[in-house]
Amino acid sequence: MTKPHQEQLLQELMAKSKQQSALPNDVKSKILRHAKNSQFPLAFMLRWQTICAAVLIGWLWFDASRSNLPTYSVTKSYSDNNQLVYYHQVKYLSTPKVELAKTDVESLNLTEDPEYFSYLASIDKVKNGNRLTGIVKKSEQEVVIEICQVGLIKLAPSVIQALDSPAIINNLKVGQNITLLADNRGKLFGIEPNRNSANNLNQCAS
Amino acid sequence: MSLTLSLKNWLGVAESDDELMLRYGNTGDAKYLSELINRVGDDLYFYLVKHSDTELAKDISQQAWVKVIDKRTSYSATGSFKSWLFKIGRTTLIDEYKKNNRWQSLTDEQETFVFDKNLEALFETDRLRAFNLALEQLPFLQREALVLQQEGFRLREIATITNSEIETIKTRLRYAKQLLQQLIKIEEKKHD
Repeated sequence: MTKPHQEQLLQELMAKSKQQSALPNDVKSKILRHAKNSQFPLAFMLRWQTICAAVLIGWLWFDASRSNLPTYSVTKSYSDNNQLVYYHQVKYLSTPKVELAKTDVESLNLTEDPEYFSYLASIDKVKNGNRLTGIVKKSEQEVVIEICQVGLIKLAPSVIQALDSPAIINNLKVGQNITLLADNRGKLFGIEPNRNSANNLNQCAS
Repeated sequence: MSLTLSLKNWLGVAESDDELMLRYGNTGDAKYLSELINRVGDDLYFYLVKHSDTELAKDISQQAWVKVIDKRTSYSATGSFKSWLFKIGRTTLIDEYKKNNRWQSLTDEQETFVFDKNLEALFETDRLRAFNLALEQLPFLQREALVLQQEGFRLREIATITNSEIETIKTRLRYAKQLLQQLIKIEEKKHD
């Protein structure tokens, strides 16, 4: 009996023994469920209140018809200290009146909303509204992006989904310079690290 | 690296475990993790079953993969993904044993074992069962070295996974293979 034969016998028996032990499907499912839940770890750094509060910039519609005093439906909420306004959803409506049930949701004519009006005004001043440069910051344990020309943007799940760049979002570091990409209507669709040293910022000029 | 991966994808060449893990680390896309589980999930589970019991093996498997998920961005392909996974699994298992004050007794086991003569008769009728029982008789560290070697790991990798010297691994394997020698003798008797 040769040594190769011994090794072969050992391998055969070990292989047969292994066939009796397969990772159960329910364990696989649990692992994959955890993986799906942790695709965007930054989202978990946001407190649940702010996850509910969602976005400063969401869906902004820069329609040519703005000059006709359009009516928008605005879903918004406030931060814990009542200072920041988060716009979950801003939609242009053809009819002026919309009824929305939740208490943190308002239906209003934007001409009556000074905060949103000032926001639109700040966007209007941005020279290149398709590429918004900013800095990753931490504000009260929350990760935010400060766009100098606009203000703070919260990384709410809807924004993270819209940016569709988990690799970049997962690796955001405080102090990092980034560029947010927006379409002509102001809707965000991308994020990229800003490696151009000429555009690098430490902080926004006041 | 991403260009290489894209080319491989385009050409239909299967990605290695290490490349898949890098992809998973970069994208967070669970489909890559799912593929990794399909490839090596059973291997880790078998190692854990052989060093604990079914329930604990399930629990430790889950914990180990969750750690892979949580540490995915820190993975670098300096070693193989599989050895990285096994190291995580082993550490998790030992931590569990330490928590229950069982680790010391497991490592205090004698380096040599006494072959159970009953196995000889069993081997005649049910080779696989006899083999499994004989494997159970081995001390933890020797059994571990043998199972890891049969899993395809090299001596250096086994040493890394178990935090041991290569010479120590060689010794453990030598002792473990005494088990095989005993079974082979029975096999030889059958052929005489």
